[in-house]
Amino acid sequence: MFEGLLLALSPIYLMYLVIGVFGGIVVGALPGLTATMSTALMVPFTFALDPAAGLVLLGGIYVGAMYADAIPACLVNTPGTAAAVATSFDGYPLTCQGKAQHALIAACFSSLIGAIIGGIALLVLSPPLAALSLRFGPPEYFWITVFALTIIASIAGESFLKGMAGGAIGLFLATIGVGTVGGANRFTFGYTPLQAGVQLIVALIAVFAFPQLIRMLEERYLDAEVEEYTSSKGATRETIGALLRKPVNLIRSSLIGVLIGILPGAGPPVASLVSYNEAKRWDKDPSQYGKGSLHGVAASETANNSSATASIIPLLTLGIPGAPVAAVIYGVLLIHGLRPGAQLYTVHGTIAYTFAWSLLLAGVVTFVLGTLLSKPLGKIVAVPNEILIPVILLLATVGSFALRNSILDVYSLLIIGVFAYLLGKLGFHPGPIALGLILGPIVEGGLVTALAMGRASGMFTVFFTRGLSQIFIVMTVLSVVWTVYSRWKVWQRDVAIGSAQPQ
Amino acid sequence: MSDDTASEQSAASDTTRRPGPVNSDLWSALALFAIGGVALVGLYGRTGDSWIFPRVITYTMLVLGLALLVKAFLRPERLQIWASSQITREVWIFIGGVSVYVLALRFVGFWVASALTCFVLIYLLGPERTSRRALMAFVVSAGTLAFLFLVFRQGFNVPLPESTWF
Repeated sequence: MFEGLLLALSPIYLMYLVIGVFGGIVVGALPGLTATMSTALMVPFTFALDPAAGLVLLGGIYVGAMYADAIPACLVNTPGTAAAVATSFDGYPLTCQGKAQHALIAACFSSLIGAIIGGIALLVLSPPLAALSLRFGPPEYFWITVFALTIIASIAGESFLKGMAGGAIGLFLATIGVGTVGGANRFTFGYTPLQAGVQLIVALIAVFAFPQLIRMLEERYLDAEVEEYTSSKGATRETIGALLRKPVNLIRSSLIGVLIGILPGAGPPVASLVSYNEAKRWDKDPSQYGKGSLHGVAASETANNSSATASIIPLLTLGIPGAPVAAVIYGVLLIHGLRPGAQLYTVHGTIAYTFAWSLLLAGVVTFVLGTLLSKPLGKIVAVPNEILIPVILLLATVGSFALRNSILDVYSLLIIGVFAYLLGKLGFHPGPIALGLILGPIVEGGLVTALAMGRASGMFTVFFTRGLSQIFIVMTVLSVVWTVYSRWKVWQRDVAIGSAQPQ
Repeated sequence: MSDDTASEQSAASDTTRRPGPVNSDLWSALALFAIGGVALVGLYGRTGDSWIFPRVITYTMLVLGLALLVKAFLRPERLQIWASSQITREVWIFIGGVSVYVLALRFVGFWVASALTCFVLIYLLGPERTSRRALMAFVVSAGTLAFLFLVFRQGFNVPLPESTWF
């Protein structure tokens, strides 16, 4: 382990790390370009490098990109990836208050904390965490995503019914195409290109970016949604000081990220949403969330980054890539003659530990670069809307097309975007729709596979009899009860205020 | 800065919820019935594991639509959709223009369609229509396309929609 640290700190490896992080930040900030895409594109460059150097470069890109998806989320309310959806709930309101720099610094500091704790988990706790991940089966995946769906209540905004409906619409959109279980063509109505379904990134750009473009158009006649950006000299100190006043939020979010990150297929999007919900639930003043709370940004980004690092644990210890980027890294390991699994730590321990340390150090580099870039990036909001609108439109178009080189994705962007805009006008929040899109495939896979397990064993109680499932069932029930109780209290307060006002 | 002040400016980021004459619950219910109706057509005669989850979601949407319909008559949420007819007109012109752009991608290609769209939007959305504005629109459009070319085409080798006409 110590040898790996020394190697990771050597000047040449640090140079690869900085290049990787910088490249990851540039790519991650462009909606539609994912960490997976940028990592995959860099793979050929690693052929000329030794295995450890190649992994350090890719690790830097991964961590940089996992922070950078917060940049468009905060500045223009367009999450760069699914993992930044929860970041936009408070990041963009902060920008609207003229505090774009604070939002970006909160994101990169939280990313640092997440990367450190995720890195420590990877270095020290890999074997027991890997063993825990093996205990998760379809019933556990089903219940953990049902628990995650209860988040809808906290992000639904004013109308709980519309929040639920938005979640249902997102879940429905996620079912279009070939079913993950069974393989039937669903809701394609004979149109073959729809068999590939609605791409998640395209749908997220459509749900967030397109309505945002039209709102910017409307702003020319209304009170400005975004206050003038004001650069603040003490922004870094202020922001970090505010976040450190609630250390429990940072630690809890990191741990949630690690625990969810080790689950193949769950990963940063689920971790950031669950963490955001828990941060809001346990805060003394939850009403701040959704209105520009630094702690909301911190909860999402900390979990996002710790889960990204933790998703490497099942890859290195069990040879199971838990996330798309992990699958790319799996390929790189094979190309260099390294077999992921338990023996990686014994036969090629230095390489494994160098990679693990580089993920932790990448968090530090991301924090430094992110802080330096926060001021110039924050000035983007000062660009006139008539320039931002077409530029964002072009970026959204390119980002949508680049995923599969399919014009259908651009058509989907337009159709879903207009629909999401009109739903927004009717009072729907985009968060629940995004939540449904992200969680749909996971909850369906868990449900249908667990039903098949029940059918095979003749006992449908498989949903309720496994220990881990029972824990998530209790958490789900408590979450629902808490939601109902909180809404009832708000309703009672509103009734009391209404009756106290003079007639 | 105190993070306690964050809640004071909540209205600034929520321009979608202004009180008005439109019964948003009624229209929301109709939207859910429309989506649910399409889904029911797709579900008709289908059985098997692939259809369990879509069926559950479809029925959920229809039940929620019904709940919103009841609320629409008992305690409707009335919202303003567009603040003025000028905004309404501009929004639909914008949506129409973007639709033309998206459809044109296949015929004239990404670069031509995007150059024209970018130029037209910057010129028309600006506060004044002058030759200086036109020059600025040209410069910004050219710069944006150059950036996209360098990053996506040269850097990432991402092919973009090509023209079928030329």
